[in-house]
Amino acid sequence: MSKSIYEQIGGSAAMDAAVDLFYRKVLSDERVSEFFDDVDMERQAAKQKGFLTMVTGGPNNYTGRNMRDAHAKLVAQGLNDGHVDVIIELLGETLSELGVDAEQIKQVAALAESVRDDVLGRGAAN
Amino acid sequence: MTIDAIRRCAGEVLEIRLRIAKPLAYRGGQFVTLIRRDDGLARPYSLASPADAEQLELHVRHYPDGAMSGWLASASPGTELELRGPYGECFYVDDDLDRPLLLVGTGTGLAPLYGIVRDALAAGHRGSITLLHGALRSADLYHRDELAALAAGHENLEVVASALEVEAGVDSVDSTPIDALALDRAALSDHDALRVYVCGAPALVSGLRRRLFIAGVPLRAILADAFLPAAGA
Repeated sequence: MSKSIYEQIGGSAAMDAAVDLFYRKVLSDERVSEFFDDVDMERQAAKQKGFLTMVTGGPNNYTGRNMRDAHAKLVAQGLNDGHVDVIIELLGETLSELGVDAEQIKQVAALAESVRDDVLGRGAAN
Repeated sequence: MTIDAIRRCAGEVLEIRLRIAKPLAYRGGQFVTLIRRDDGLARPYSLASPADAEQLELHVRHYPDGAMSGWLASASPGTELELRGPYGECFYVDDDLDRPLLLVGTGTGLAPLYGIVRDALAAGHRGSITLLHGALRSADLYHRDELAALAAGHENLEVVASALEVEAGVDSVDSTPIDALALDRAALSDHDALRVYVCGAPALVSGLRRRLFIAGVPLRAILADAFLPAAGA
């Protein structure tokens, strides 16, 4: 079996650097930054590490229920598909800067895509 | 724990020195909870003293109606107190003596920074140390002489005072907002080596942390301590 992207990038330690890159992009992007205005940055970074670990195929304890609960307030504030698209775009940029090739970024985007309905509170929880 | 001395400083700040009955293992910048013996009233205060000091030094903002600070302001030397702690992760770590350090604080946010700076100097820190202390009015900047004396004795330490309102006749106070100063200084440093300490008003701490992070400082390199006002401080 081939190595996961998570392992290729360098595992947990590399995820910390990835979170800094990714989180910085999210906070700097006016299309989505408002959703991060009143959050505890350390907790948010830990959550993003979990998310990046999951979408790159690393060890995770992802549940759709957690994702729904975590985003319910944001959905009420107007979080929609367009915002999710921005996040997936920024995720791709982050991985590209870390040297992940385009084909693998597509795989990651597909995994991130699988979370969309949970984030937006649609359908049944996974 | 016994109060040794109380000194009134500028900006309604009380410098309180405590004599410790038995040695307390702590680092400058951590905080302790002071507890009044009579009724258990408890408030957290940062440690401004370096780790090896014989007396603990605290900076307490005196609020006239403050339950604890009002009581401390009129307490006399010899008064006994209980203490818990130390707590917190906002302190100097000697993992790299050459890294630049940037310390930013408003009001009594200076207390932890003063402890951290003195611990860094005691450890033989060689990298640049920049301490930015801000207040609304220049008259509220306290410990200016102490900080100037410390900077005069250490080539790698620079102290910058900032106030939005600078009284006439006051020199060497920068009227640039402290967050702008901090971002300027951070931009001059190697982001991957820099370590930043931000202490004081919650709005400054959270806003500056975010802006420093966006500017390129790694999240884990920004240590912060937001002072949340207690009801009836």
